Amino acid sequence: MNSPLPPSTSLDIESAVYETALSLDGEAREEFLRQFYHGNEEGLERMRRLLRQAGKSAAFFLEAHEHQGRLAEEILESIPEPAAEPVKTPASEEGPGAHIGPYRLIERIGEGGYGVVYEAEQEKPFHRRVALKIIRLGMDTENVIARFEAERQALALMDHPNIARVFDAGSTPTGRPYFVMERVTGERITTWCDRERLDLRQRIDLFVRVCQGIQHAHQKGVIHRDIKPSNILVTTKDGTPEPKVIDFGIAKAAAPVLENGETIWTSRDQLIGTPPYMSPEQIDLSGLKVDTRSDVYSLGALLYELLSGRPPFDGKALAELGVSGMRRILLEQDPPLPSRMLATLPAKELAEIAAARQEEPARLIAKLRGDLDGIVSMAMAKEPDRRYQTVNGLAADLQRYLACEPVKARRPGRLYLVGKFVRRNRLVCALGAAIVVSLAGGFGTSMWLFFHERQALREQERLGREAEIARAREEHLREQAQARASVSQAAALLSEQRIEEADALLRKHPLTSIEPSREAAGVFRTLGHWNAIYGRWDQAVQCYTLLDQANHLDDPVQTIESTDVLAIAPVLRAYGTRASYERFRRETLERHLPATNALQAEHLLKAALLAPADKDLLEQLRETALTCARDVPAESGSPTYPEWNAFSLTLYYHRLNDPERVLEWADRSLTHPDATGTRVSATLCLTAMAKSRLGDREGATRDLTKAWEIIGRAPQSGETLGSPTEGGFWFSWLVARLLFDEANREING
Amino acid sequence: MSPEPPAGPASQLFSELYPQLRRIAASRMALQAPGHTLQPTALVHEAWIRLTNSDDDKRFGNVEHLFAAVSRTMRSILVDRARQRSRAKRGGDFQRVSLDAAEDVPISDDDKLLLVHESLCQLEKEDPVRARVVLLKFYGGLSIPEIAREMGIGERTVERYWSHAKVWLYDQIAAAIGEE
Repeated sequence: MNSPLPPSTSLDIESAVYETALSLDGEAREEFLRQFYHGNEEGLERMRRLLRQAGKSAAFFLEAHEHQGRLAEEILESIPEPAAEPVKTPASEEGPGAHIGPYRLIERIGEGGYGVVYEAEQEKPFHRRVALKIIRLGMDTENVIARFEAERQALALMDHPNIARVFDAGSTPTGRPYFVMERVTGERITTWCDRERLDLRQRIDLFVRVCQGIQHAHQKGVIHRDIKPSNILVTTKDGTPEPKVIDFGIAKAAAPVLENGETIWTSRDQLIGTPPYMSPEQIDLSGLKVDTRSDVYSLGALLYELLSGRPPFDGKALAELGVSGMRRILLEQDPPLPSRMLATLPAKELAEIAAARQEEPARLIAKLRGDLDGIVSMAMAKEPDRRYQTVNGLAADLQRYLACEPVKARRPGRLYLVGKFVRRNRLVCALGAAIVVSLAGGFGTSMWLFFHERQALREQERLGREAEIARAREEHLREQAQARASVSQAAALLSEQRIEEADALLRKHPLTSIEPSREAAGVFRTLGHWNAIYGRWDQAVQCYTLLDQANHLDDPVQTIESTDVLAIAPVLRAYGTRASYERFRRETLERHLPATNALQAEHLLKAALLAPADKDLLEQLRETALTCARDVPAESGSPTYPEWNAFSLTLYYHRLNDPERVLEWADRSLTHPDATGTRVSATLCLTAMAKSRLGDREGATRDLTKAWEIIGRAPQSGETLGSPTEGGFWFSWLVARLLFDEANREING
Repeated sequence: MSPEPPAGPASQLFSELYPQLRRIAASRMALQAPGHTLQPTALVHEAWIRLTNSDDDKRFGNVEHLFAAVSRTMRSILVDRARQRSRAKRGGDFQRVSLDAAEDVPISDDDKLLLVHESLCQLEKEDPVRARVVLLKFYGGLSIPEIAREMGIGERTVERYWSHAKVWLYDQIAAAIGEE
């Protein structure tokens, strides 16, 4: 049914650049444009102009669309009335005492954007008090209920202490849609916080719990679409405040939307929802789809008010601007930063707001300035891509703020920006790659990882579009993929010895932001490797700890047959805490015993025996030592290394305190040539101890001296430490150094 | 005053769709509270629903074709109406609003619609695919997923095309009316 698209036009590239630039802020955007339009002043000017016009064009098309509506009406009015279909007469409102389905209305308890709310009693199948919201006239009952039905399953899945359940929907005898919800008696969150004089920290704590409720709903595929103070009530349960989000699913069902929920405008004059809290994409002519990030925006607006005492946009002033003016403001203008807004208030108002937060006015402003201003603005960014991508992201940043850690709400760096460009544009992929390469300037071996992660990013984006219900998960994966891409990039920088840049990048995307996963293993491995090569041991410990966790998610056979354990063990033993190595070897044995071939056995022995071991542990390894001694081949066809088998057994007998066997296996190991000296020096440390234990002090000293000579010749740092033949693996050297220290202590006290 | 059917290829569709639009309008108007505006979006949707629910749809071959046809019809109806109004107000005849608009006169809403129409003609020459997105979105009132289905491209692509086309068109319009 689809004809293929014509070949890409110059507009394709313009479109790609436009979209990328739009998702970037000030400096980052400028830098991106300068790089892209290098030497093309005309193109640069045009793009800058288009970007300036982004908001205006949206407003222009809104107005044009609106006027089109007026014209349509005019045309229709000019059509002679046909024989009219029977017209439904608007029925009077249902009141207390009335029966609606199984519900009896008791008392009118409120009025909201969509209609009137009653307290009601459910009679069948069981008695309970509920809140029943009757949608006001003028809405198409059938469609409202159909839309509710479409979401009913998702709504039923929601079960969270901070969300009011939605039970049912139906149509009143007079044909108006109604919704039945858990009855929540509480006060709106803003009023409650002020009355209780909550300070900023308490307000943020409470807000984070609201976020948790919303995040839960997002995970079930439900977007609220109308988050505002009056939809978040605080009840007190056993003395602790409990925020509850009400009206879930109602905005979507009740808004006169087309199937993708694209507009909240009922007509040119009527607007469902509350403008100061609505995201630009809810106001715009559906340039973008409303998704979970619209809720992030509204939460940002709520946070703004909780912190500063005023909504981000003044509802009354907006109303006075008229609909077009209002739209333009909401689409084009960023609200003042909370701290700046407060600074412009009359002293008396400011004093009241500060008092309700138990602060001095000046201190309140100072506390909001910086991180909290940043968090609010990031949540309320006009472009969804620039917001926190999930509600969890917002909550996590607030928790970072409370914990005095650096928050994420800050400017994106260059790599972030390039990555962003590349991963958005299949079309100009070649172009994008060219830019990355020119920036990266020949990154060498680690570069493939970056491209690999970028591919993963694209894949995540593709998958993510398939279902809204997967949205939250997808965002998470995308963030993870992005973080991994950034960290791989750091590894690439390290391999180039561009250490400061790598560190700057790692500060921006700390390793801890990446969850251990199979995908992440490669990132941790590469970065750990480069850190180790350049002697950055603290960072290496962090990387290898994460690698170990990530490997738990992978195939155990692959893990134990790889060199990962050989690297993790000495890093933790030498630079981690004592407990970290103990835990590592315990878990490794639990996970990988019994060894089914010599390769596994050799690895296990080396990984587990870098520190003295108790009887139990050695007993556990008995079978393993036999497998190693028999040189049992691997089914996978992986080669075994008799010289390393011999070394591992030397180590095993050393831990068993069996000096004769140590010397026996050491001899076998030493008959094999060793290009780099790692194995020979480590073995000599073991023979030194064995000889010392047998009373041969001279021999012990001789071996130890020889070992020291070899270890002293080891390269200090650099790429050859990544090769088993050139410089020798750094981790093999590390094993030799550990054993040398041990032998030196034992022999020379 | 009854609108004249537009000339050209759209005329047949127009005459077929017009009674439908009228019927929809009549039932709609009765439900509308005073002051409500009928959105062309709603009109087209209902026309579409009714047409596809009837046996008539076989005549249109397939739904995609119908979407585009309805959108084109809406476009010509609306542009004609805007042109009539603009002409009546100025008491003169003119072909290209952009010339007229260069004068220091505030741009009327009708002129804005005509400017959209003209800049879209321009876009149709330069990039028919993006122009089609605009036609379906702006005149047809189709949602992003509907456009994506109709054109056989991804939703995200439609969003990008629409977002970029808006600013592309606006840039033309802004130049015509001497802004920026």
